[in-house]
Amino acid sequence: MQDPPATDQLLDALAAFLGRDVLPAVTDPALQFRVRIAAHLCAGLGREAASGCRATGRTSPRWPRSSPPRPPPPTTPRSPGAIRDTERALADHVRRAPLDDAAYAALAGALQAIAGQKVAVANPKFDRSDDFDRIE
Amino acid sequence: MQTDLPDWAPTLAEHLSAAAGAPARIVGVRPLAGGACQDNFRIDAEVGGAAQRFALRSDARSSLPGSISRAAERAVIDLAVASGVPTPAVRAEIADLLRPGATALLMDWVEGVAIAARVLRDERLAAARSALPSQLAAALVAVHRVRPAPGVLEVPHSARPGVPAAQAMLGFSRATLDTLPEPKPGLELVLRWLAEHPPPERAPSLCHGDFRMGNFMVGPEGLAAVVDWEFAHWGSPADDLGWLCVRDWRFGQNDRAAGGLVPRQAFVDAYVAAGGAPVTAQELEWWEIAGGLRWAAGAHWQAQRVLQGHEQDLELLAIGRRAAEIEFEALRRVRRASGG
Repeated sequence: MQDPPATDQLLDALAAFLGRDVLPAVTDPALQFRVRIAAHLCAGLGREAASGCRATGRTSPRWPRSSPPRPPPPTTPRSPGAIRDTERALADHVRRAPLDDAAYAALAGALQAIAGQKVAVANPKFDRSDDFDRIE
Repeated sequence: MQTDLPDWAPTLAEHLSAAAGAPARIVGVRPLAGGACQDNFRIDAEVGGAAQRFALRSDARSSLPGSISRAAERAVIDLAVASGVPTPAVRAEIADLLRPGATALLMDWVEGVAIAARVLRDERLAAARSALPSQLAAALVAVHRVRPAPGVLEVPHSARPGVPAAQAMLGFSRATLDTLPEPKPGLELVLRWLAEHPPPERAPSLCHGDFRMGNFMVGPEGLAAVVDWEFAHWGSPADDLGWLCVRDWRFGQNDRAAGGLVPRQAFVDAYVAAGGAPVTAQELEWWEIAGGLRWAAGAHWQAQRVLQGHEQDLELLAIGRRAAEIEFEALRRVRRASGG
């Protein structure tokens, strides 16, 4: 535990510094491109820190309850190793279980929700709405 | 004039002189932004006393699975140029230029804008955007006129005798997923759904493999050139059409699914009008979802190039964090196609 400022506050400040102070002073286009990426990454990491999600990609997967056939019991792992084990078991289930359209829809919906949790933090502007088809 | 030229500039000048048949010297070398898989440079030269500009494209230290070598890319570009595709011709192929084992291509320079956000939003390119759909469709038809040539593009995602285009592409995505250090259940589901709902087989043709905004050089009149053939392969023409419609390549213009320019059907209509074979909405959807799978796996792999110590590039790490968006969209399409 550190004294203030908190991690997310520091990352927000870094993002602002890179975008507001550094970027206008950089003239090389290749370096400008990378400063923009750095500012964008700092802003995203600030959101991750604020949300308590230590690293995207480590979001706990949950078994889709309505998916036939019934998958192994739900788990709520916490350590990276346990999360990886659960992801491996889920991937194995996805590869081998008999799946009809309803099972595909249920599994895809559940896995889409997990991906959506990551996207909400990494890129809040990404349109995750159900009526996205209407826009297309 | 630039005085701090890289130590490979004299070698480049020798090759340029041989290709041009006139004395040549290099007067400027500037790295170009945006190349995630190659080292790209703008080269200013004097050839026979006249100023000329070229692009230099070299093998990077590492690349994505399926990325072809510069020597293979040269063969593809030669075929594309002969078929009438607007793309910069190769003037020289130089082994071991930037470092041992890295081949570089010296290519014609084409003026234009490739940055997608500018192409899609810059007011000064409004007329170009109107012209682009039909120009891109015509270019794609010219790409797809090229039929498989022996010994060219023998890459895992190429269709080949006994392995249809869809099967080759899914085999490639399977292999890419298997190389990632962590399991990806969402992408596994997408891959399985694709394998169980295959599209119709088509006679294979050349596929650009990365036909999307960002690889189009655009000027005031519209398309100046199609560039970046590193993912070229033999496959279904619908592959390139589906890839163009992958959500990531719309750069926020979500009401225009085909590259952020026009709706899907409008681009398919332009493609057919230019002489391309018709593609159904269902077939296009399959290749669009397959494109999402390929790009999501590729985005994870881009980050691995840094995490495994092959590269030091912030952009590659940032691309890894975007994989979730691509996976989200592919799963949404599978859910919808399954009635969910």
